[in-house]
Amino acid sequence: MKRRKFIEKTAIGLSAPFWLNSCEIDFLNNKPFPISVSSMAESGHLIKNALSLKICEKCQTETLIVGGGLSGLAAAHTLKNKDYLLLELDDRYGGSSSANNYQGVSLGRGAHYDLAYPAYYGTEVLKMFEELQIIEYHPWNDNWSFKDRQHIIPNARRQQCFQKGKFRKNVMPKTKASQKLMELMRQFEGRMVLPTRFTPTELKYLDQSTFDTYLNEHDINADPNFRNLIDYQMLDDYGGTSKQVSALAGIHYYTCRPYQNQYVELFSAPEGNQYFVKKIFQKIPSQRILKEHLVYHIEKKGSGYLVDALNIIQNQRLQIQTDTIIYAGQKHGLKYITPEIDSPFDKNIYAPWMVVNILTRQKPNNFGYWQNEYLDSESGFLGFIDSSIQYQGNLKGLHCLTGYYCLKPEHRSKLLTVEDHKDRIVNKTLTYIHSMVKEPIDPEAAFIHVMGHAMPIPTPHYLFKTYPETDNFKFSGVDTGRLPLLFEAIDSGIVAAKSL
Amino acid sequence: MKKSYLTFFLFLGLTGGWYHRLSAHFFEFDTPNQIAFWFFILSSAVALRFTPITLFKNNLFSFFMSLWPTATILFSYPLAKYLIGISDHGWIWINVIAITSMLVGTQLNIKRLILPIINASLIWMIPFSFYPHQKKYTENLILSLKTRKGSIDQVQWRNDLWTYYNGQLSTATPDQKMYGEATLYPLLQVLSENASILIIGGDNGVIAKQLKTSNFHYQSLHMIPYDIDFLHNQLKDLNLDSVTLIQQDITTFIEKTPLQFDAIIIDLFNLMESLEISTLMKPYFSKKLMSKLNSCGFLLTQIGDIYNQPKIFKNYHDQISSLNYGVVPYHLQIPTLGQIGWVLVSKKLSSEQLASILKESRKTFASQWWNDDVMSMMMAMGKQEYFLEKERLINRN
Repeated sequence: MKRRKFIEKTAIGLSAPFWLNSCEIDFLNNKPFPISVSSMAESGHLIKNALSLKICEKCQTETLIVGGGLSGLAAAHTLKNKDYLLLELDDRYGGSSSANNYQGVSLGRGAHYDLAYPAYYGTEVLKMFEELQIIEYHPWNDNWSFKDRQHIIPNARRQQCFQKGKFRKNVMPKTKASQKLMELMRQFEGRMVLPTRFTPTELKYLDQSTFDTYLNEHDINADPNFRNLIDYQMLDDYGGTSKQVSALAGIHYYTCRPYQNQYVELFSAPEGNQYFVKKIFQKIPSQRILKEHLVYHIEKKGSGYLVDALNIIQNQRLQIQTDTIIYAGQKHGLKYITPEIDSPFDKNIYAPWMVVNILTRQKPNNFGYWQNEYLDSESGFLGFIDSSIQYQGNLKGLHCLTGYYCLKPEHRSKLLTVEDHKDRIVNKTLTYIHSMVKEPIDPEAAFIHVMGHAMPIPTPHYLFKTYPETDNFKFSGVDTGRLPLLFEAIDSGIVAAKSL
Repeated sequence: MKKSYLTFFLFLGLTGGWYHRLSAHFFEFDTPNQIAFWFFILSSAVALRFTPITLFKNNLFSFFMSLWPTATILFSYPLAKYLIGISDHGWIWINVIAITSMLVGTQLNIKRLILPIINASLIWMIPFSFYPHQKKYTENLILSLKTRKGSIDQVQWRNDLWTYYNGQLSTATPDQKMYGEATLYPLLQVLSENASILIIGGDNGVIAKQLKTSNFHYQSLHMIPYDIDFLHNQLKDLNLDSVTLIQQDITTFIEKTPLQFDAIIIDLFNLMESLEISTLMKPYFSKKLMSKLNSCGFLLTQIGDIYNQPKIFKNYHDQISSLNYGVVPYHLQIPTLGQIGWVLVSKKLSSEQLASILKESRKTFASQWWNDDVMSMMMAMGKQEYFLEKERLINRN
C-alpha cells in the first residue's frame, strides 16, 4: 500500500467513532421489548353506539360524580358520608394524574409534581391536604410543604436544559432580557393566588389579552430566541405558547410562588401525582366508586336526572337515578352526553399530550437531573423525567425515563394512530433521551399514554368564566375556566361538592 | 491480509474504546490548554494548505513527517502541561509522542507496523479517567462523584487535595486543620466534658475528624449533614460508631426533634447564597435552635466568607444579641477559603463572660496550630471602619 493510501485509510478509520457517535442508533433493532399503548379514545367513542344496549342494572343515588380524576375524587372526599356514586371510564383513577403499574411499581404517566403552597393560597384545598397528611405548615417560610420529605427533589438536581447540543441549568439563563422580565413580574409577587377564583379584582383585566401582547406592551425583548424560551415554559405548564395563553396565566406562571426570594420545595414521587390520588382514594369507601364505566347519556327526569352508563368491560348498561350531578369529566363530550344542555365549554381548546415511560433495569452510573428539558424539538417533545433522582424506596431497582410530548390541538387526530407507530415513537423518544444522557439505554419495557384532551389552554377570556349552572348539576375540573394545575382541580371538586 | 490493514485494525481495536470516550471532550475549548492541544493537532494540516514548498504540497506523508519533530519541540511545553493536567499518566503521553517522533525519522519499513502498536499499547496502559468536570479545574481532577443532592470534585496538586461541592471549595488539605481547630477549639474551651453535640452540616467531615483528633470526651454526637453521601465519601476512614447520623432534612429535624443538646454547631457553606440553606439563619430558626439547647448550651454558627458578606455577619450577630444571649463573634483568614467568620452564642453566659473565658482558660487539645495568640487574634475585630467601609461599598454596588 502506498503511504498516501495508508494515511487516508487510517484517517477514515480513526474518524469512525465520531461517525458512530453521531449516527442515530436504532435501539429497537438491538433487542425487542414490549410496548403498550393506553388511550381512552376508543372507550370514549363508544358513546355513539351505547344507547342501543338494553338496561341490565338500575340503581339510585343522591349525587352522581362523573369522572374519577383529582377533581372528582376531591368532590367525593368532600361529600364524605353522604350518598354518592363516582363513575370513572378508565381502569384506574386519577385522570391526567394516573400512573402505570409495572411489576408492582407505580410510575407516573401524566402530571408529575407540585410545589409548596404559600400560606395565602385558598384554605379549602390546604385544609383538605392537611387532613390527608399530605402537607404541613412551615412557619419559617410561611408556607405549606409536603410531609413525605423523601419525595422532595434536591435543589441541585432539579433540572437541566438542553439546547443546541449544550446543557445549561435553567431554561431561561440570566440575561438582561430575563432580568427585565423578572423585574416586570416582581409587582405581582404575592398577588397571584391559587385557586384563581381568588385573584384580586384589579388583576382580572390581565385575562383579556395574550401574554405575548402584554410582553410587547411592556417592551420585553422580542428576540425570537428569547420568546421561544418563554413559549417553552408556557407549553410545559399550560399546553399553549405565549401567543395563545392569557397575560394572567403567563404572569401567574412566574409569580404564583415567591420563587425569587424563597426556596420553594418541589415534590415529585415516582408515581407522579398519582401520589395525591392515592391519598384521597384511601379516604373514600370503595363501594361508592365504579371504574371502567362510561357515562354516555344524561337526561332530566323530574327534579333529578336519569343517567345511562356503560360497563365497558362487560358491555352492560347501567341506569342511575340521581338527584344531583357533579360533572368532573372532560367537557368536550358534553354535547353527546347531555344534548339538552348547551355546553358552556364549547370554546375550550385542549392541548393533547403523550407520555412515554421507558423502563430499564440498568441503573445509571451517576445521578442525573430530575427534569431534563429539551428545547430543540419540533415534534413536541418537551423533555424527560429521570427517576434516578426520585425516592428509590418503591422503585424496586427499576429505572424509569419518562418522556413528555405536548402536541398542537390540530394534531390531535394523529394520536389515534399511536398504536400503529408505537415502535417509532419509543425509538424517537430514546433518540431524544440518548442525545442528552450520552449513555446506552437498554429498555426492558415501554408504556405510551395518550391524552387527547390533557389540559385546557388558558386562552384570553377563559378564566373567571361564568356559565349557567343549575342547583343540582355542577361542573368541576380544570376545564371549567381554571388553570390546568393540581390545586385548581382539587379546589373545583371541593367547590362543586359544597355548592350542592 | 496486508500488514497495513492488520495495523489499522489493531490500532483501531486497541484505541477504539478510549477514543470513543475521549471524543465527547475533543471539541471543548474552555481552557487555553485545550486550545493549545488543538492548535498542535491542526497546525500541520493548516501549514500543509499554505506551504509554498512544492515538495510538501505534493507529498503529504513527507511533509507530515518533517513537521512532526518540529511541532513536537515547539509545542512540547503547552502539550505536556495539558497532558499532565488531564491525567496522572501524562508522562506516558509524552513518551508516545517521543517514540513516534523518533521512529518516523527512521527509514525502517517495519515502523508502520510497530509505531501504531507501541502507541496503542502505551495508551491502553493508561487507566484512563477523563472527567467532564476537569475543564473547571486547572489541577488534576482525581475524583468526580455525583450524589442525589449535588456533585463532589476532588483535585490534587502535589500531595494536597482540594474538595469541591457543587463547584464551590469545601475544604483543602493545606489548611484543613486550621479550619477545624478554629471552628471547634473555641467551643471546646467553654464546653463541659460529656456534652451532647449536634453538628448541622459538616458534610466535608472536617469537624468530625477534628473532634476525634481533639480527644474531647463527649457523651453523644449527632450529625445531620446536608448531603449524607458527601459525608460518607469524606469520612470513609473514620470510625463513625460513636456518631448518630440523621438522614432527614435539616429544617424538619430541628422543628420536630425532642432531643436537647449541650452544643449545636452549624457548619454549612454557601449559607446566604443558597435560598434553601439561608432559611436556617432566619430568626425563627435561631430561636428554635436555642430552644433545643440545655440551660448551659452553646450554639456555634459558621457564617462563611465575611470579607465579602460583612453585612450578614453583622446582622446575624445583632439578631442573636437581640434575643439576650451572650454572643462572641470571631474570624480568621483561612488561606484557601477566605475570611471565615463564626458566631458563638451562650445560653447562660453573657457576652463579656463568654469573651473572658475564651481569652483566659486554656484546655489543651491536640493542635498543630491553635494557641492563645490565635484566639486573641480571632476575637480582635480591629478597627470597625474597614468592615463598615466594605459594607458601604457593597451597598453602593
